[in-house]
Amino acid sequence: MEDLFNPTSVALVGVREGQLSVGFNALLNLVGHGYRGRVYPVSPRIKELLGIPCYPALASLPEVPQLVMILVNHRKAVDILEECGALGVKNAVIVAGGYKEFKEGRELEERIKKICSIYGIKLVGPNTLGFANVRGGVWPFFWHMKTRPGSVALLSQSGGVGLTVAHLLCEEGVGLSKWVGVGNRTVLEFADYMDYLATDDDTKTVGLFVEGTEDGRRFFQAARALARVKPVAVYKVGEREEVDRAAQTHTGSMAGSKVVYSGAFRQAGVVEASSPRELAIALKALDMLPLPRGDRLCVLTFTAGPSIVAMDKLLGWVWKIPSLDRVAREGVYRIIGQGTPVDVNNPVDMTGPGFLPEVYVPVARLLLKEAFDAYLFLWSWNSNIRMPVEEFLMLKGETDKPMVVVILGVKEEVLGQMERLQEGGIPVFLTPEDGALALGFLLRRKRIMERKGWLT
Amino acid sequence: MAYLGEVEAKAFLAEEGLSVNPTFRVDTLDEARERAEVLGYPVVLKVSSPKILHKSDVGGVVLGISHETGLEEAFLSLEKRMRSIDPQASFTIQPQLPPGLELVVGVSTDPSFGRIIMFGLGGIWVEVLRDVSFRLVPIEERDALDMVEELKGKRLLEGFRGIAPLDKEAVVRFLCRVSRLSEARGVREMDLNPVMGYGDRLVVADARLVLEGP
Repeated sequence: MEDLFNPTSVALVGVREGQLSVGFNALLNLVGHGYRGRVYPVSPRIKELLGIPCYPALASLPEVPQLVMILVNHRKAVDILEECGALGVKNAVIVAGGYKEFKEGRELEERIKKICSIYGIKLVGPNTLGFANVRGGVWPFFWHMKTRPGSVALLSQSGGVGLTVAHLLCEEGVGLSKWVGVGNRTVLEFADYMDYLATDDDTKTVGLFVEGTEDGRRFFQAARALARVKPVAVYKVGEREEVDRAAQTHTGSMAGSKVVYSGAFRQAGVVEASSPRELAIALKALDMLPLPRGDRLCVLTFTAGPSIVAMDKLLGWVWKIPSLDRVAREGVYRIIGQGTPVDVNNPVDMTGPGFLPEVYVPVARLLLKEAFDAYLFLWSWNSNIRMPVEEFLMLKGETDKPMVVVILGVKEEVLGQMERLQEGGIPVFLTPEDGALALGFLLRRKRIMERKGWLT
Repeated sequence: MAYLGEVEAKAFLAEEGLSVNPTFRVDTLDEARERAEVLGYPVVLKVSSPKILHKSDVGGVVLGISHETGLEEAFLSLEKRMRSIDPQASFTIQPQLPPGLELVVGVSTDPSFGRIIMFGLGGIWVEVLRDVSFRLVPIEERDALDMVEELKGKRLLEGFRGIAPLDKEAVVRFLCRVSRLSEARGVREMDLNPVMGYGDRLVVADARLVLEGP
């Protein structure tokens, strides 16, 4: 699999001129993302593309490429694959659709399977946008994806949903290590990619979008082995029976019932999200935060309402929000002022005085020393008042407990603060419920590790 | 594939160490009377026919028969109604179980995952609430515990309205045993519904199963 994700040479079969061409876009992605290996566009009609010389056929290349991306139609693709096999190519991508998800294509897909088995070809797809080794700068990928290098790997059975999650993560300031559109999984299955990711040093966290798989048993075993070493979050579509069926016509999988999948996910130790957005938040939390030692959470705020919203959601995720003890309460009053008309508890609402950094930060520091396992710091943005960003980062340096900051504000206005905090390893969310969701997934992961005896 | 009806299925399960409500085939009213004498009233009379899988839906189950006259009436009426559906239909008799918590335990073969096990609230709750959880066979104890804990209605298991709280450990043991036996004996499908829960004791009140093989 290392050759697949980090090939020293890539051939693109079926490139054409013009930005409406799939092949052109694939070449543009490969070159544009700084691929450092050798690139061979293959086309019988064109002499060169983007300043790169083209070759009339695979057989006329100066070497056997380590990866071939096949960008021609579904019938021709099978012939090219055969050619790849005969030449000794070991890794390929077929982007075309129209195989088992489409009646007449079933036979073609059987041929693909056979060719790959005879020649030992690892095939991504068919029916895929391709894949991207984002950290390694290898993009055999024909569409557009906005992301940045990071440590989350995404495996998606749908290109569109995979893009949605990648983009949501990008919005959240989270980058990718690898992105794979697994497509019809004719040769390489979810399980193969998961096995690889378990040992991939670039990947810390894995996200999956699943419509259905024919070999659920193998999926389960690979997912369990992966979840043991890295956090894995999944979104499985098909809450409704009609959708289960739609998923089948999409990828031709014999999608089992959603409830069975949910059971298998839990048994495998994978956390399940219920939408692409939830998946993105789960991945952000699992990728950025250390596991808490226990389930006692402290919420700090100077505006009560949002902390109550967070509390409502957090309790649903079985976090405990225990009261402050007398000594801690007195400590808080000493900082916010003895006469402050508020009953300090948890959520710790400092009210008015709290928006002053010289109040917020010492209270936060005091609470860090209390018997809590995680913190949710709420900050209501005001462009006239300095948010103590550097102090938050210092606080983070003083503890190994997970810490989430919620900024109640518009992203455009708080982007700088958000980015600075996240660079320093503090995940930031813009609503109390997203912060709660992130902490919820984190606790679920912790429970899995505990229950399965995976904590060392 | 071999299909086992209630009597055979319960014998099979009893052999595997599960508690079942003993059930006997009776073909005539006389046989029913004799059996009821031995078992003691109240009893339950059910139709037994491979053509009738959902016995209650066709009125094929008579619960709480408390004396001989009642048994006569029930038997004759059942005989008349059921033989119009299946002339070969026979009948079973078993003691009426006291009220308890109705649970469901199932095993089936999923096209993608293979053998899976299900646990949930049983009896009439199954169809209305569909409050069930699934795992792949084999399960470990902690999986069984998770299956119990993820039920939406798990508070029912903690005791309500005079029904004793269910011992989770007993459920865990039961589920693990079903998981083991379904592998060892090649169970393709198993439907234990209801399984009656009485504190630390679970009793299979109705069962049918399909075994793999010729």
